[in-house]
Amino acid sequence: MSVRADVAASFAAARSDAGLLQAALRVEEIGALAYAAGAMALRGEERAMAQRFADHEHQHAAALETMLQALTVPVRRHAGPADLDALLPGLADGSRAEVLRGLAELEQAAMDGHELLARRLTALDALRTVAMVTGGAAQHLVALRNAEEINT
Amino acid sequence: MVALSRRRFLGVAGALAAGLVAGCGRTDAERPPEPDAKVLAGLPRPGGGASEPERQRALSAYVAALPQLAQPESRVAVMRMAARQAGEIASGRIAAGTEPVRDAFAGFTEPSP
Repeated sequence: MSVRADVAASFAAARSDAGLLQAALRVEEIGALAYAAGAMALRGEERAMAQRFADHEHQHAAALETMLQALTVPVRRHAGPADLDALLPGLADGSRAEVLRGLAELEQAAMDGHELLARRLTALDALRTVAMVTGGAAQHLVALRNAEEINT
Repeated sequence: MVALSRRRFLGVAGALAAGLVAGCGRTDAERPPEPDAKVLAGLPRPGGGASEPERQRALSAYVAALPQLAQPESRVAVMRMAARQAGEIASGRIAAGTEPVRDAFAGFTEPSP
């Protein structure tokens, strides 16, 4: 299963606002792990970029967790290395091109999920935060694709 | 700089969370009919030569408009517009030789110059 299909399935399985936000939270948490792992396979400015984006993913996750707290939904499970391995196996050992491509696919998958939130979330005020997160993801995607084009 | 962004973001997130709590219980079915077409018509649509501040203002308008839209398809369209505008801002910065991503939230937590 591709990253986008796997992530799409997790969003599609959600049956409530809490489930949708938890699916989005999982993707951001995996994103933070993915950038940290990817940084190990990258060098120079690209490594620094991946480390910075890992911090951004942590901030996205914190924002979504704040939304869940506002809905009085406790987050009982956070994504871990096993979730990253299931979604993007061997990322830290991948080539530069594989890492950049995998990270870009994950960002695109997150943005696909945010569109589903726009369609299905009933707590509409939460969409402001989701839109800010998707804006961040879109900018990450542009930076990753620019890096892919350089030296390839 | 990251710490500053995070502090600023916590303020934003807190305000949004407060808004969310205040809005709890407001669902698609309960909200009064919203004229999506009017909201959509009022949104800025920066052209190809738009400046970064124009694009950032458009992005802010899209974010603010999302909860006002009653129809799921309208919300999806505006979410896409937000993503596209954020991407255009990053692309413009790359073209200008500057850092494409300055904060985690597409400018919403960027420290003031």
